[in-house]
Amino acid sequence: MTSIPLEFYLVVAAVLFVIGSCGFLARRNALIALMSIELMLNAVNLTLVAFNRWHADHHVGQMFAFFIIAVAAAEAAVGLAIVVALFRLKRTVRTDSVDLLKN
Amino acid sequence: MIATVVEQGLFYLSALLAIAGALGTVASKSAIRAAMSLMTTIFGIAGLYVTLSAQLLAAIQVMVYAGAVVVLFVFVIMLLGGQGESSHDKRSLWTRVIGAGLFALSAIIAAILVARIGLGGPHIFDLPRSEFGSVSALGKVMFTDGVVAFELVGVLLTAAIVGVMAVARTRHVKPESKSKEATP
Amino acid sequence: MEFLLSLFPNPEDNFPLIAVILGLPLLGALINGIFGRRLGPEGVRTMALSAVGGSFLASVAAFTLLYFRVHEAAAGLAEGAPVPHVKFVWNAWRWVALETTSIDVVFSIDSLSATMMLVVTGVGGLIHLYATGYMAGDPSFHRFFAYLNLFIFAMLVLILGDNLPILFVGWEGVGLCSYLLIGFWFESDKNASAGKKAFITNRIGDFGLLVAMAMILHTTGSLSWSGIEAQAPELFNELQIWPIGAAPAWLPDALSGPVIVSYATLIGLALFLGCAGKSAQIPLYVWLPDAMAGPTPVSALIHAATMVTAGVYLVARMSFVFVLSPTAMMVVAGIGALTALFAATIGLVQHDIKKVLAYSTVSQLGFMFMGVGVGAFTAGMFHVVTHAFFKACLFLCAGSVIHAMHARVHDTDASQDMRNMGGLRKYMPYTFWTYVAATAAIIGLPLTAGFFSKDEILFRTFVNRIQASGLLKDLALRNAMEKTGGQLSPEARELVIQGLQIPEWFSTGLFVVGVTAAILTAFYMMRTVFLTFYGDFRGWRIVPGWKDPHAGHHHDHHDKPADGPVPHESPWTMWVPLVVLAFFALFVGWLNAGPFHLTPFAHWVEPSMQSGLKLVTAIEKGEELTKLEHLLLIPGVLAFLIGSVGAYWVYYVKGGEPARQAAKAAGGLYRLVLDKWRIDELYEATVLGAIDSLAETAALFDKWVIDGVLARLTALVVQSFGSLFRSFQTGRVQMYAAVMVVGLFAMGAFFATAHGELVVSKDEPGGMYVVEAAPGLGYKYRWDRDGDGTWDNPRLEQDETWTLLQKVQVKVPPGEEMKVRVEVQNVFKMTEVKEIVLRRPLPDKSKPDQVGMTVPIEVSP
Repeated sequence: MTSIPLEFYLVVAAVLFVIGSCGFLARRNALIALMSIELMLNAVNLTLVAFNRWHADHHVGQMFAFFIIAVAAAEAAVGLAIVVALFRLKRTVRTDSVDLLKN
Repeated sequence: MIATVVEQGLFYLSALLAIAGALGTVASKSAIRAAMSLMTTIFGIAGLYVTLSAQLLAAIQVMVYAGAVVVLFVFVIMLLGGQGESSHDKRSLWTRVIGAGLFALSAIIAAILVARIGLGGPHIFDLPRSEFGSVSALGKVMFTDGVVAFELVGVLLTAAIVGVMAVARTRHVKPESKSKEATP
Repeated sequence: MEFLLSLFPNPEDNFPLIAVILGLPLLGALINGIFGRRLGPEGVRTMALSAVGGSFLASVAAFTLLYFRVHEAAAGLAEGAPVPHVKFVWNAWRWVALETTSIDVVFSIDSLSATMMLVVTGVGGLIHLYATGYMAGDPSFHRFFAYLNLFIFAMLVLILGDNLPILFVGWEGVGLCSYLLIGFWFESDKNASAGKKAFITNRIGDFGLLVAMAMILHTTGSLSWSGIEAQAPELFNELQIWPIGAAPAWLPDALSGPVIVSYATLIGLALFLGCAGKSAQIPLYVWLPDAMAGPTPVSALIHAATMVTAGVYLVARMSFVFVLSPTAMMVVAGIGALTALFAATIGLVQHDIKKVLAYSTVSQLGFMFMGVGVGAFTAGMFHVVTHAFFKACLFLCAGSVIHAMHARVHDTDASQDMRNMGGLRKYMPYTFWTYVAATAAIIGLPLTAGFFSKDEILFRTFVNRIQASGLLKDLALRNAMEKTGGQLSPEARELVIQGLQIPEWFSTGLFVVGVTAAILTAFYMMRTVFLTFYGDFRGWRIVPGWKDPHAGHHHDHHDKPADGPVPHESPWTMWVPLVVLAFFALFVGWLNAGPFHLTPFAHWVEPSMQSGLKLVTAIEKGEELTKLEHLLLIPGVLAFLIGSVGAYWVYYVKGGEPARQAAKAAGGLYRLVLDKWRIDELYEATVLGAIDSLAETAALFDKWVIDGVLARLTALVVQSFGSLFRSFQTGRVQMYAAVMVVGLFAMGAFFATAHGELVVSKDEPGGMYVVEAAPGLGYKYRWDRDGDGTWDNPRLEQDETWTLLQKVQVKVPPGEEMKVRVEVQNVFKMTEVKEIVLRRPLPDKSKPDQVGMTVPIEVSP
């Protein structure tokens, strides 16, 4: 019997998610934006695992979290590759210098 | 008794690490410090997984995120020379206060709404089965119910690898081939 | 005969020979038009002539068969009984099936259309032959004959049509061909404009015809000759044409009094508008003189012999409609007479020979309308026939003269100007003699065709009266009685009846006008003879490079030809038709020699117009009538004598001096008449000016309002919205993400609030309404079905008003309304109240059941 209720975990996850989204919207450094995305994904993972602990007769949540980790890793790799390519083109990692679709 | 204390302590410590690391990632000026803060968050979340009886997941979290993703981030930061935020990038105080205020407001509203649903008091977990979250249990489920997804994730990872190599390849510089900046 | 009968055993029901009569010219037109260039002039010639010739032979065959059948039918009857109206019918196919009637493509031949058919194909054939000579060498030879054949086809459709729509098809068809042929040499602007003028003026008349068709369909329910005739009494119905609807209050009483006119009058006037357009009467005659821009065979065929007589044919065909309305007859006859005089005055002073003949045509058409306007339908039709012969002959002779003049001078205007002609008698004998013969006919030389037909018309204008028929009289008397509110005294009755008839002075006036026009006709026709064929040839001067002898040129230009070709006679293809036509012009009058009581033509044509002629009487009868007829020959002969002797004296004896002096003396008047009374200019200033202003206003409106405001405004709106939305596209990913977050919040707001949408389905006869609220996540509902303000509570103890009930049924008594409310609560305990009013109308017993099915009427409580 654990003594931490489910709501605590959800609150932590929510806070992490909000921090991650704020970071993504606010930071101009592309790398840090990508890191914020990782934060958001982690928050979602936490939610899933917490709920899975609540409905403990199957492992769906944990399995889902597992796949999310895998996909997040792939996505981080590809995102970083894009940043590197952009850096080669523009010599900067600032997101607001990549506005080629403006207007 | 001790178990409860340990658990609670673990939970609060991990939560603290996670949130502190998140704040650090988002707020730090230098990219490498952000990467380190991210690593802290990862570890914090791994701790939380342990308290949730998701041991395998905690291990995988550390191995993949802390061991691979953050390392990759660090590599790239080193490669690109990690520029920090210059001073003229700072947004005005007014914008930041408004932004923060809006988020706080929406958080409060969300909290009220959730409370109004009236789902009941704090939900305490029951004692799980002994193999809950263990390698064998998770593995069994993974290779029966989730085998299709598993294989597809494998394909996805392969595609990601190929994509990364295609995008980030060093282009051979031809003489006079400075690619024209595409003007908007 | 037996052969024909064996081929067509029952021609009254089915006479496919009509298809041959119609089909051959159409075939000729198609082949000449499509393959003409490849066939070459010889082939085109053969095709065109054989088409018309074949049609003519078929017409002759049809005519003989008809003649035979008429005699067969008449033989069985008693002496003095009216000759039966025999009609050969060919029903081609059903065109339009309307609700009450149907419009079929039906052609018929009766005595009236048989006569016209022979004239069209016969004279048309001769003119085709002439045209092969006249148009020889023209680069568009094949196109000319295609059009000419097409014209014959269209004219035949017009004549042979058994109902108004088919006639209208032919009507439009001849208008089209007229346009095409007038503007045949369309490279010149003048010709193209003349063609346009003809077509547009025609169109104005066609409007009248269409309105008439609509009115006929409305009153009689049918559009075919027999159908309309059968329902003719319906035409006595009246229509209030003014005011339309309720008169506005600000109109004075004098203007807002109701004007009620009988349908017969309206239809007659509308039909006459069409005839005025087609047959060139006032006010729509202006196209005919301009139409002389077309080749002369065209002028001969279309604007002398056939197309322009379509109007007269229509009046004769619809005689039974016209006689029902003395007003319409008066208008027809009056305008006819006026046109006859008016055009004759213009023709008096024109220099262009074709223009003189054109105005002569307008004048003679006026005569024809005068004839049919007083009820002398046979006389009018006879004048159509004789006019076809002599006018065609006159035009073709003029064409021959112009052909000869062209050899000398290629300018169209100068070659047609009579001031450049003269003394052509010795160069062109055939032309000369045929021209004289035709002129003799037109001016009414006694015993020629024109004499008989024109004098018959003049006679009839004097003696004919339209009987106020029984039904018309009754209706008028009834109307008068209603107005006075009681019985009518005998004097009042007489007054009413008098009001129905044409006043006495009208007939006398018509006669006087007609005689005056006859005098003028004789004068100007003889003028053309003397100017063209007598005297010395003045055309020597019109040679390129001619030098004025007074400047030292040693040639004497009086008797010896100077440089350039001498006028010569035309080839045989041109003068043979002239001779044939002249012959007919002189002798065809004996077919209807009124004073000598030899009237086979009248007897032949009368049965087709029986019902119309029934209402036509004369002021005298029998012996008295014959005496009057012989008496009234004198003014006609006098007119001929005065006119021709006058012309002889002025132009032959005095060499045209009196005319020149009179022109100098009455300078202003002379110029006015020479300018055709400036009617074209008047139209230009008034009608065309008004249309031009309208067009300019419309153009201004289009440019400033539609383009300036609407188009630019919409463009501006689109542009500004575009810029607005473009500002959202910063190209920065994070901005897009931020916008997404905003959208997410909005969606969240939507989900967080409750929404109560109500849908009502009705079951009206029963009065049961089903009200359904929209479903949602965790929704609970609270209803107030009876409109009492309190929520319905199924269980009376606890507050159990919140249920999952989504659908409720409410019964509303008829004529009352019920207010139903619902309160909706969602998962987040947000609520919303919605209200709807259900109104049930009283059962509608006002309209009876129109569908015919009996639906049980609910007995509502």
